Amino acid sequence: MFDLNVPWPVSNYNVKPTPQQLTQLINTIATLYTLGYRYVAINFTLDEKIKLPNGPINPIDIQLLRARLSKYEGLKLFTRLTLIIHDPSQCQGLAKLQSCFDILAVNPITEKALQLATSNLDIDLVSLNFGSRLPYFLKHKTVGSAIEKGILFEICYSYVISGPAGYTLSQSNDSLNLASSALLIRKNFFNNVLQLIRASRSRGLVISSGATQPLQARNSVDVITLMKTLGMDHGRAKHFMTKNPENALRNGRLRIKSNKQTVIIDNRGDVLIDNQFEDPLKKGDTNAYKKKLDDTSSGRLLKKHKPN
Amino acid sequence: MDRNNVLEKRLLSRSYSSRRKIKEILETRYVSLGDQKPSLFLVPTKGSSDEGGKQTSTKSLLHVEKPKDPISKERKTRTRQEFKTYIHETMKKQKALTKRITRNRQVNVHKLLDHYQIPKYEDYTELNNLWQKYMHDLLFNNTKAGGGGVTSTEEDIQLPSLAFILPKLSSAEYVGCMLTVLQSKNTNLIGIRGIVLWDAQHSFIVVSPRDTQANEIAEASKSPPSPTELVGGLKILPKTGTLFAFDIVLNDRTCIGFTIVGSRFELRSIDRAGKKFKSHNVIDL
Repeated sequence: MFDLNVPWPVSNYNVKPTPQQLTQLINTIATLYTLGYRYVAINFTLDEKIKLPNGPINPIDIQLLRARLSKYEGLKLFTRLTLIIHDPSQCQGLAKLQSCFDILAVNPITEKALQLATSNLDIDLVSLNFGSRLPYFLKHKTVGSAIEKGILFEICYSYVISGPAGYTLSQSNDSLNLASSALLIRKNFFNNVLQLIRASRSRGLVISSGATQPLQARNSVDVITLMKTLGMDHGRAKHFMTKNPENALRNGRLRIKSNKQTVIIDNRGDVLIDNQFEDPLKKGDTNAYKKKLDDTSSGRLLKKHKPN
Repeated sequence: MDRNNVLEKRLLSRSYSSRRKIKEILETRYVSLGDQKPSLFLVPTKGSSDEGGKQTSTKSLLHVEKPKDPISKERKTRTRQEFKTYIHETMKKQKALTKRITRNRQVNVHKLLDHYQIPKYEDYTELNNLWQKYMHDLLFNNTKAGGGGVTSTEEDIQLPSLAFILPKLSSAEYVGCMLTVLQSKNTNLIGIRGIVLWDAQHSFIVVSPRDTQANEIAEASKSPPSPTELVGGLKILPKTGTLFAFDIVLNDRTCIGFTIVGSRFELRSIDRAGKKFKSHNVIDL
């Protein structure tokens, strides 16, 4: 199972995450692992106005995370960037970012931004802000053409779980009540998701957690139940957590690993997705992929008839 | 210069079927004495129908010698057609041999391979070596260390970046490359490998090795080879929905692996050379 959205604790280049925040992130990933998620993408959110630094563009220290999560077998970590876009004509630095992150997502603020992002930019995901009322009406034409191109739409379920206040004790009759702001967020979430389902005709959606705390992670049964309340059938809801995110991940990985999806570097493991062999800082570097001739059976065969 | 006049012979073989005649023409072509006069020996392949008694007694410079025998069928077939029939016939023979082996496991396969004229992997390894050399010239020629990489034994050759290598690979030639099927919709194909003989639009035609080396997965599991694996020979691997792996040898110990996405490679190699590729929806991979 895939979870393509675990937020990185900071969202700009100036601040480094504190050890406490890092531990919480690792705990969240560990919780997701025990719930059955094997492919986890760590999400770094960036506003388009922020200027890129001269140093490494990807602030996520994936090697540190891998080292600390090494005991979880089969866990695969990826990095993701979400760009908040106001005006897509100003997105010049996208080409620079493409080679640094495994997945590229956008969060368009305006309708024009959504339209231009889906038609012009080379991205994998569109992540809308479901906590507040959507500022524009989602048109089936825009959403449908994006899905046709392979750009998927993301739903984060943490909005439902992590209201700013959660449950509170109301003074009057000593019973548990939801805080009004949490209620509002929930109402908005269901409204917006229903809109997205209508616009996309329930195709091409991806469900991810967006969990900042371990407690906000949910297993597949819970998520499917949530989708069922929104009128989705079981099989489709399952695809939103397995097949569709895999496609998004492939799309992003192939952008780095291949030349327009024709020839891919490397032929070990799951070639379409894996990123364990590459240099996390310099993804375009070929030297990291070198391997020993004796390791593979075809390599041994080639060695046999090699001229001296 | 080529003393055997291979090219001239080739050209004339389109017009004359007898070898002796061609040889005679080539030997006496510069003699302007006796009955030999400067003339053009090529016979037009089209529109050669007789134009009804218009023959003149004097031989002009552009005199056309009429072939005595009608053009044999063999000569008329186009190279492409001939290649096609060759593949079909070989596939048929392979099928027959496989059947024979299935019936009687004790037969001497090596003798039968010659009898059935099935192409052998060993004959094509030289082609693969040539291809490896071509890849080195194509990819690493610009960098100083990589140019001598074929024979150098030093451990770390600095390779050019992915952005430089990959576009070159997607318009490269793959005849002679050693391919292994990594993933396929047809699960029976997974693990099959061989040296590419022909890069067709929708399939790769490969010559696969025999016995235990025929299949990567079978080799790992150490299961006894099946009759088809004993035969080896030509294999037609469809490109749709298949991933092909191949390796480029860097030096004695290291190599670098690449994968071809078959579904995006469904072009003839001539068309592929000049094509500008585009990313598509990845659902079909």
